Amino acid sequence: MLLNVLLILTGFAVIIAIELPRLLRQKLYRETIAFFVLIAIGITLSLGQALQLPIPNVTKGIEAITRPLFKAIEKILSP
Amino acid sequence: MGEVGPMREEGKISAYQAMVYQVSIVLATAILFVPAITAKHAKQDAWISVIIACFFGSLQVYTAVSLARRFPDASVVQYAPLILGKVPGKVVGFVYLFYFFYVGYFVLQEFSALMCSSYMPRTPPIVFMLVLSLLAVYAAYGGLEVICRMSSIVLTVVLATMVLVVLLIIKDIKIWRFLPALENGLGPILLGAIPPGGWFGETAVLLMLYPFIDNKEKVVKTSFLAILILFIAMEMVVIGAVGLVGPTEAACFLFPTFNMARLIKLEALPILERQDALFMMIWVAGMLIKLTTFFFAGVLGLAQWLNVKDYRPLILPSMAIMMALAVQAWENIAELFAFSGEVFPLTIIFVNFIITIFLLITAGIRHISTRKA
Repeated sequence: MLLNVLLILTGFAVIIAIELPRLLRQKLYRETIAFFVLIAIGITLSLGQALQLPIPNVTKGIEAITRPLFKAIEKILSP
Repeated sequence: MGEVGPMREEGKISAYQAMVYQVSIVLATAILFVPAITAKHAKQDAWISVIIACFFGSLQVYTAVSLARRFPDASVVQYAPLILGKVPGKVVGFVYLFYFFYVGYFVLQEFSALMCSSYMPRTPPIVFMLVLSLLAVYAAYGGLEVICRMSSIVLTVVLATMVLVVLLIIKDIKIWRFLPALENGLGPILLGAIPPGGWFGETAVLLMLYPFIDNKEKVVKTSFLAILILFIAMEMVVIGAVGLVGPTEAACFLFPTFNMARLIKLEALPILERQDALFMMIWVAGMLIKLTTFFFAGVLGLAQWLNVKDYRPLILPSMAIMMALAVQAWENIAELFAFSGEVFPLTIIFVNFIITIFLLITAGIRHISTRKA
């Protein structure tokens, strides 16, 4: 678990090290804010999984809405 | 409406290059999943399902092109607020861009699922995802023209290989496996047509690419041509899989097209037997194109949605989010398969068809268009 957390944080550190200097040099402030918001979402999602915290699962949400619909269609169309 | 327009010069592509895009993104996943999923419902009539799906796909791509033609210089994320008003438009724009990422992380999972189950069972799935996504990141930095040229090369090889595989198994196809036709009426056939219909609809990615197309007057023609090529390719794999092993077995295989390539038997030229290695090679390339296209569309959409000038700084963080979503979404291959047969087609039809036609009708009623007369 600790190794996973460490790897994830290293990954994000690498991403920041690649992009941030260029963003600041070109004074792209709007981009910089967007960049950090995305990084924050990414860290939440991946660390949440590594630490097994209860974070919302978007895919499961989509599935919960769509599957009953498919079952209904299946029922209508089955012989 | 001054702010609507291409964000910056990303190069131009021709209508035929857009067609290559449309074909290769659908082909990569469809040839693998359609035979099993369609044969599960429609049994020996799977080939009829593909015909129905083809008509539905044509309708979807025509809807998308009609909408795109009203706004020649903008993508759907940019003009949705013009049609629906600021807040609802932003919501719809977000649905579109989430859809691109959604297909993207689905592709990532499919890719690692296949590699783990068929080729390298002892490698952790995350390794495949990481390799494929880093390649997609690299291609996305290159921009649209780079991705386009790469797709053209890959698609040529993919189509040639598919034709080769089908030619080699054609002698083993038994016509009686397709009988009796229409055994259970039309219902199961329509049910079987939903997944391929959804995949055909992925050609609506044109909604993002349209502003970059050079000769826009040809887009309707090339889009239908793309549907036609896809139709022929899907029929080839469906008829091949069902004719070779029968509908029940085809539905049991995880990836019938792969097994088809493995079943090639040729006494005269044994070197052509078991083409699955070749098949895997081209399929990996196809998956990369698909992932890159949707990822690029997603990042571009995200940049337009946030009103930032350059999409490139968003590439790496978006990919990190996509990988996190891919790992989180499905716990095992059985879940992924149930999802790809039941949930995935309906969700992409919802975005590609329902939302698109809703935007088109609203734009039509309100007479909104940025096209010069």
